[in-house]
Amino acid sequence: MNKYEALETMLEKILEQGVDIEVALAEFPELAEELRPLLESAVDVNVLAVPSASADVVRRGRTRLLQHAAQIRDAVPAPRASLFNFRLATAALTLMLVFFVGGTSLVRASNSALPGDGLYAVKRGWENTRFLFADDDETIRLEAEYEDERREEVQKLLDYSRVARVQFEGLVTLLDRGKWEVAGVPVIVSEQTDLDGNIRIGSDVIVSGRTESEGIVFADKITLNYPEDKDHIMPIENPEEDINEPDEIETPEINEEDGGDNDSEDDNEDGTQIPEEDDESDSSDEAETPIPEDSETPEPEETPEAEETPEPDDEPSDDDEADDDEPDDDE
Amino acid sequence: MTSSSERQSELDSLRMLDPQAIGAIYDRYFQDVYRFTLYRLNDEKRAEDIASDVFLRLLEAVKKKRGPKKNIKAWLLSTAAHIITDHHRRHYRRPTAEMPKDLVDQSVSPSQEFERSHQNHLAREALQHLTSEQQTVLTLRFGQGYSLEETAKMMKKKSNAIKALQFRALAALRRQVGEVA
Repeated sequence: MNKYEALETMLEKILEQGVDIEVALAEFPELAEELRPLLESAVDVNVLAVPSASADVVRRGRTRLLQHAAQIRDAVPAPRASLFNFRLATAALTLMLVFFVGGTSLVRASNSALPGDGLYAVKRGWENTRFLFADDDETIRLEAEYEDERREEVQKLLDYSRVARVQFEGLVTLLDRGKWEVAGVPVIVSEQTDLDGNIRIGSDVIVSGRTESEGIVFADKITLNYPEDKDHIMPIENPEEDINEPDEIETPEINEEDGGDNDSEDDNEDGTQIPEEDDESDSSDEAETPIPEDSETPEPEETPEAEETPEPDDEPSDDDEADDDEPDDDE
Repeated sequence: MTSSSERQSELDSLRMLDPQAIGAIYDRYFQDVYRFTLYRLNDEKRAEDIASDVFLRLLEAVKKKRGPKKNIKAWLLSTAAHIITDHHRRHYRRPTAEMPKDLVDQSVSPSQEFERSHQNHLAREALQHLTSEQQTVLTLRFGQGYSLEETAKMMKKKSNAIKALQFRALAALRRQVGEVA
């Protein structure tokens, strides 16, 4: 038995069976002097305890991973028809089905259909058919009814842990970094989410995205429901949400390159204090980013690391322990 | 330990980018990858970032029809080892003298605690000075508790090579502890 095998034999006894170092060494007296320090080092390094990841760490990584998976799945977007054409087409199709195929029983059967179900198109088609025959008052009532219906569908999909593309409307009730809540539905907003500019708590928005089995909606796009009607956007509850009021920041003086000439700015507390807090940002940068920053990017620390590490193809390129770009687990 | 059929099923679901399968794989292996990385780096924030990055790379590899063919865990740990090596190459800095707070055990006396923490600290610092292969073999064998055969599979080496490698790694660690002390 060579010294490598002797070391392995002794390690197994010491670390797995709890045998004392000296007892283990007694079997190999000729190697004792050479192997004793190595065994002591092995014991030292064996007790180096590392804690497990906290629940927060696990959750952050999980969210990041599932977001990435959703982006990969969505990499090839389905072509979208216009809403008008969609309504006409589904209404016409549904009318044909109602009159020539199954009658009202088909429509009734589709009442409980959810996005992704086979009968869901029938359900939406019937809704659009009702719009065709509704007067103005009835249209308003139907729109409210179907808005509620969309939200209920999303909630059911989340309850059933089903994955499906959804679109629904509602008020923003929470803005916490990448975690939003719209009409009581938890919505994950990533850097890839297409966002309208002035969204804040209380904004009435339309969310387009995908339900996930984790009980959340990954948002692809969030737009204001009434972008042209500023009065409709009512900041509520938290007055501090108004700190980044864009109307006060977008002043032409701030865009001047030489801040020393802007005497008029001295009276503006916001305009003078913000640059002092961050030496690297000048006034023009502030003017260009009136949106609350904490609502757009989930974790500022995560991005730099991702940039520091190469693509999978580059992983082991310079490493002396493998000659393939990524681990090849062929054994 | 998962059976080979479970592994194959896991891999098949992963290739379809099934969100439930991805979540299950993450739940099953994240702690292993995180602890492997933390053991090597002794930096919780870096360990979190790198462990998370490993799983993103898994998805990217699957998207390109690559990635693990038999053993997801081995692939993940191997990828983590490569990223750590790359991280050391890009961001090498002198080890700090600060002793991590999580090494302090409240159940022993202050003098014992100091002695043990000091010894752990020296071992950790010394570990950072070993070669990538030496760090990996010590992390897998002593930090993660893998057997000789499991370590050999993960490092794609023969058992005899692992025996020799761990011998040299422990000898190098011993020397480094002397230098750090």
